[in-house]
Amino acid sequence: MADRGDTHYHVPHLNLWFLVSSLMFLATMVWTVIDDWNGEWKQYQRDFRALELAKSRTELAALEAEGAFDTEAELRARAEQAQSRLDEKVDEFAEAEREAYKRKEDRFKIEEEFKSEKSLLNWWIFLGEEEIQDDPELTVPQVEAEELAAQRGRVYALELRLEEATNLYEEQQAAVDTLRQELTEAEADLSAGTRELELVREKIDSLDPAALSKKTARVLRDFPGMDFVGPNMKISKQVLENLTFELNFTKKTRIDMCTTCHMGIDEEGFEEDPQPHTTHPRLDLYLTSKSPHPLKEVGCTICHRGAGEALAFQRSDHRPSDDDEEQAWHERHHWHKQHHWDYPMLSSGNIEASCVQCHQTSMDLIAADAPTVFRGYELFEAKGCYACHKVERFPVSRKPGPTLKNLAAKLGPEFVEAWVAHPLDFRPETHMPQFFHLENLPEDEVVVVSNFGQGREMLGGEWNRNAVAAITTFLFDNHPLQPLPPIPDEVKEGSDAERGREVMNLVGCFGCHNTAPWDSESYDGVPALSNRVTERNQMGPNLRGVATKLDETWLYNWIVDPTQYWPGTRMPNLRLPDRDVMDIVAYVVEDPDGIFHDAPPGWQETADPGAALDLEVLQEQARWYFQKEGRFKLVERFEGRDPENRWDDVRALAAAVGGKLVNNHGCFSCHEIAGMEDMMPIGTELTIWGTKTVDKLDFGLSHLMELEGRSGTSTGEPDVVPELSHEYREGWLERKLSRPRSYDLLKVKTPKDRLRMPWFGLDEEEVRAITTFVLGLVVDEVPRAKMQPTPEQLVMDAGMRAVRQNNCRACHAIEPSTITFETEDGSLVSIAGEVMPFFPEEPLPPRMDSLAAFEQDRLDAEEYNDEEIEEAYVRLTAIEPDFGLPNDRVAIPVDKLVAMTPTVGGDFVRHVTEYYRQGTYVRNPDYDPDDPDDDPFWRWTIGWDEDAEANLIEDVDGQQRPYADQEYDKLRWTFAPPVLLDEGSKIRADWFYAFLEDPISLRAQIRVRMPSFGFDTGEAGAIADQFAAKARLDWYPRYAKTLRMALGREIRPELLDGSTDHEWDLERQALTWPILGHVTSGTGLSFEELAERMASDPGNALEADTLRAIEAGYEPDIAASFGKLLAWGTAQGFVMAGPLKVGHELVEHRTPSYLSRRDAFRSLGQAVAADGVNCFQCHPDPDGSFRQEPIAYAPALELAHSRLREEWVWEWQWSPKFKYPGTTMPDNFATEQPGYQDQYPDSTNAEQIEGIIDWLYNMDRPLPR
Amino acid sequence: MKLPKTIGVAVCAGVVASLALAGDDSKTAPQTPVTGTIKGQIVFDGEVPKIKPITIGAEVAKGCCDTGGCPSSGNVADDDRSLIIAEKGGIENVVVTLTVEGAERPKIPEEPRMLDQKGCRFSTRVMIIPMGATVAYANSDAVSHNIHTYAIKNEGINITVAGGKNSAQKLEKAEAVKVTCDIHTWMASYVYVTDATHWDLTDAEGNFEIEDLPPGTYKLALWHEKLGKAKAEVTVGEDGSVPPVKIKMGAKKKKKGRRGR
Repeated sequence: MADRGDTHYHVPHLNLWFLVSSLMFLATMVWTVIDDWNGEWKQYQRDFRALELAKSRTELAALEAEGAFDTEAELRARAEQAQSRLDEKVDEFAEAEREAYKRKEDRFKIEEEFKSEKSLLNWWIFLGEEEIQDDPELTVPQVEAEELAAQRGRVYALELRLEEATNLYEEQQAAVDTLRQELTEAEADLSAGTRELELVREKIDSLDPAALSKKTARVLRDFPGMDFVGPNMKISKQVLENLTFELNFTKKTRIDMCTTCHMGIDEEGFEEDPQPHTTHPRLDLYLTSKSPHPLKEVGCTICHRGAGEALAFQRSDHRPSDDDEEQAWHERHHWHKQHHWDYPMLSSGNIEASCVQCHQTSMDLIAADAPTVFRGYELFEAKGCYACHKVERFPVSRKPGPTLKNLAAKLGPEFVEAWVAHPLDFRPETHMPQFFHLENLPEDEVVVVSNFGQGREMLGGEWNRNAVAAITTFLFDNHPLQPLPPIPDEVKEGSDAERGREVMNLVGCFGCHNTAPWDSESYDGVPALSNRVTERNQMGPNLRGVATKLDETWLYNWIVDPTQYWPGTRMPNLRLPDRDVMDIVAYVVEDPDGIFHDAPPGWQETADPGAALDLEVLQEQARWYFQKEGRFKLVERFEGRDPENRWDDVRALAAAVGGKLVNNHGCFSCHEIAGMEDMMPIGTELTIWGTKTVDKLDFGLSHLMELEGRSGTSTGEPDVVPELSHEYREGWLERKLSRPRSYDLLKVKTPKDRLRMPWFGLDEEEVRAITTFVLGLVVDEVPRAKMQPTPEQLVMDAGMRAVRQNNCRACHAIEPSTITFETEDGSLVSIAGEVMPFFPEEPLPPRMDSLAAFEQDRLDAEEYNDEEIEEAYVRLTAIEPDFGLPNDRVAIPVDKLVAMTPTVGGDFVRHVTEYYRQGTYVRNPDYDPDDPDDDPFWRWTIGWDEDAEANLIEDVDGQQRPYADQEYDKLRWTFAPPVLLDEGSKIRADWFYAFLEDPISLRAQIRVRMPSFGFDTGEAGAIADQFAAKARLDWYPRYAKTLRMALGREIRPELLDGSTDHEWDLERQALTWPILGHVTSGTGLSFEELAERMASDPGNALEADTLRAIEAGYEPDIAASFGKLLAWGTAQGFVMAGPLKVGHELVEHRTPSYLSRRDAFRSLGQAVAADGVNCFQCHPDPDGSFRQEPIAYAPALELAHSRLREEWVWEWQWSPKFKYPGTTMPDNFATEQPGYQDQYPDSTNAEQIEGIIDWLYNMDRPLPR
Repeated sequence: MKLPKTIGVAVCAGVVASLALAGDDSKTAPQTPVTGTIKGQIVFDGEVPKIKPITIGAEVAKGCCDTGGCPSSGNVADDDRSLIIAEKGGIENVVVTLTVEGAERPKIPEEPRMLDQKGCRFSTRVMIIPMGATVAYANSDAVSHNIHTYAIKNEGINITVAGGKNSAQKLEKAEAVKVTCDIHTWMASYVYVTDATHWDLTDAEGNFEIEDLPPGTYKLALWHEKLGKAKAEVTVGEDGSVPPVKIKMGAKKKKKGRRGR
């Protein structure tokens, strides 16, 4: 339109502007669409597809290399040949089919005729019968007999023809089938043999279609504007309706879109690829549908946190794991912390915090899979954090510190004053933290400007010293001495410190306590357990230096019954005879080995307790802590005018101020203090601390300064100062835990208002662990129903906690040791076993604490024996189908060893055994620094000097005997605490419960005492039930292993050639556990072989990987597939006792109905047991007396029926070595000739064992005459 | 009394004669290889310890002597056989082994070697068998014994052997296997399985003899259950002559550190 000039605007110009602006709009729109379309995530998806494609192609190439293509071609050719042969015979085939059809037709006609004639015959017969009924005179039917006979004849003839026709037809049909069979088989082989190949090909085709049409369609589907229909690249999201989170005061549904970029996260095979394509490291636990945390139900952000709906790297609030990564991210993605997102992603070091939100009440259950947070939880409990900081649903509530109500009976003020000031100086690993002499009350700075302006300015040091002395004064004044019963004179006389050393080492003290030297470098080699610090011998305090603080009478009374002094203590009662207790006390007090008077260097008790009390300082402290009383009243008291509070006396004032300080510092949270029993804990509640946002945390003025130096001890290593992060709540917490008072620095505060959180001397790892646990204490976002543990899990958790808290594992091994090594084909294998000694002359087998410890012992043995050690011989302790049965040896070249883990628990076993052979490792009183060869600084107590008296050990019968030359194995199985591997399968849970509550002597020869624990309600039951539950869970993998083993072994050749006169039922017993161990040899089937054999039964077929998972105890696979394995195994004839039943099990062998049938067997059992094997050579006679020396003692047989499960006794009788490799119980029925056959000629091995069990379970009932 | 003496003299004469003959042969017929015989004695080094009799529980020893396996006293023999030192210092039951490079290992006997339990003691204290040989554990007593072997490399067995029975085990790996009976705790014996080509066990006077050695220098490996291991070097001369060997063995050296004794 031309410009008419009647407007103020110029139309052509305007048009131009319209054109330009619309073009700009169009461009912007295109730009917007493209930008929106081309999201960051699409590139990741493209990359991932390319990666997948490359992998599939590699796989295809690998298959080709394996010859899969040739196989395929061969199979295809076979199928084609079969088809062509069929084609050639097409006429023949058609003729055959026609013939078959014709014959079928003929047969049908005959059949019809036969049916009609037969019904006619029946009709005739019926008529005849009716006649007889109607006319009682008739005896023969009047129906014409001839007709009947003729009809019968016709029917028979037809029947014959029918049979002939059927045969003819079936013959023909078989001919047709034969013709066809070849083809059917070839086709089946083709599809089975090429399935893997086809899958890969299909995958490649879906990723990169070859056909042009498909290719075009893909491009179109992803085209901007078209991609809303069914795009190839799309956002993947998990909508988690019930896992809401709080956003701006509302509950919001959680939607996780993380898998849009992390496409390979739940697929195996991308473990080595870079992020975001990497596979999750624990697919067995997370993401997959059969894992306990499936992606669809749990999502990602419930554990990782971060922004789940973001589709870009920066916006999803990723978290770098270290500075380098942070720098790299910053450069690549412009990464920075999202300041306004309240749920920052957890760093990899703290990721386990998330476990707490669901598993807070069952932490023991997840200990193995979440070690860091479990450690934090353990520390939270051990250090007593829960005592000051309330945490709802925390399962422990006892006071962690000892009672102070009769403190004066145990300690003197000299010790207490020094201890309160610097507890870690006396015992570096104590849980008691330090409250004074910390950085917010610096020693040489003026910290106090007087309250009310009445006193003088004061230095931190003055303040601290007075506070400590005042607290000490208060504790002793507030708790007057209640004298303990004195040690009886007759006990005290003749006490023997040397004997005390033996008692202390053998009854079990060092299961929970150690006496590790302050400077671990000061001894050489690896000494006795008591000198080392292990995970479990720190349950109680390190006893080194303990005699410097303790009262003798207190110690005696304490060991006799710890609960008398401290009812809530975890220290159990060992029920020791008075003499043993006294000898321990004598050993500690007289201290011949210089252990118990060896206080740490630098430690000093306060020479003159109370000397630090300074009236002026105390008055100032009173002015702050008694501020409420008002200045006039205080002056009245200071001047002694208040008769109830005469504070002109330093002691009275100190006690009053001390009481306030105790109150203010919350000492009563951990310790029982008279008059303060009902006070509330003083710390911040931590129930939902992990949800607190960073802006709610007081960082003080920490941004103004760099921390240096140390916070606590006057000795020891400097503190760890974690770098302070203001961005994350864990940054605040880490600093708080390592430098608890540092947020006070530079601030102006009254002495009362200063931070009171004490210093625990935690190391970096401990700080991180506790931080992880506390971070996990969040608002309950996950509905309770979602993580309700099963009853079985609750039992397991409660039992595991009780086992841990009572330190059962100090003495008892509950899981076998394992050895990981590289096999000849280069794969890594772990087996349950123990390394044997390198040479018969070696006193002990090498340690298995770690590969490094093992190596150290190996080099040591090489040097001593002047011989190279090339192989480690491992004795299997469980069935390992690829290697052998328990007690079999596996030789492993030492350079192929990869890792070793010791038994879980049972540390004390080695200690006892070591003690019997060489005593304990002590300072040498004859140490001569000029002659290091002959008189080392340390020495073993047994065998050091030739004097035989010192080398003897007292037995339970009071005799002294030498044991230094006994075999390690023998000593271990005889004198050490029993192993509890798979104990649940062995022990009846009800008996076990009763035993825990009230222990009896089972193994008379053992000097280690099973203590009386004084369990809390439910604890003993939980332990017994947990062992049963564990045995039930462990049964499934064991069945799978035993089955694989049984099917692979072959019958021993010498049993087959007829040269031995054996009584085995080889067919049956080769598949019956544990008898198969005696009649077969070799190893088990491989997983692949077993899977192949199972494939022949399609109803029960299982993949090799599923079988692997079952043997590894993976519960989802057991739940899904074990039934098939069991059905298949049973069908093969494999026999093994079933799992424990839930709840109370009947003792079947004692039921009247059973016994009524078994008299003969009981008589046989008694004869074999008492005359043949003669069990009473080692087991005590029914009157309790032994014929043996203690080293050959065995448990009383009368207990068997109430204590042992019958299934276990059956297996034990067959082969003790399969249960406890190395045990002194011999195989009585292992030889092919039953040992007692000539004495009891009509019985087989199995019958003799059954008889023994019948007899054993009814020993208290006489045999009927 | 006369008869054994005569045999002894005859054997001595035989040895001398054969040695003399061998000497002659080497000169006249060089194709016959020269061999030598090491004769030696192992003696105790240091003060001879006093050896006490072992203690035997009366209750558990019941029935041990019923089949007449005990000494004339009618009680179980109570001599400590773990370290037997003759008056002149010779040590009994020391295992002496030696390997000639390239020499064939002696044939494995087809019949099992018998280790008998008789009168509640083992018939031998130490026996040497080649690798791969079979031991038959027998029980000539009327009471039950068990056989508990503390093998490291071979399978450790622990089986009951009823009175009058026996049970065999093939030992495939070289090591010293301690054999005990857990019922009669004083019973102990060693089966020394060797992969060497030559060996001998010292007699009551501590003497041993190893024959058929080609000239060369050899390492003797010594083993005693209580005294541990020792080594010695012996040379067989080109003419087959070997100087008499006397080796001392003493108590094991005490060690510091983990190992202890």
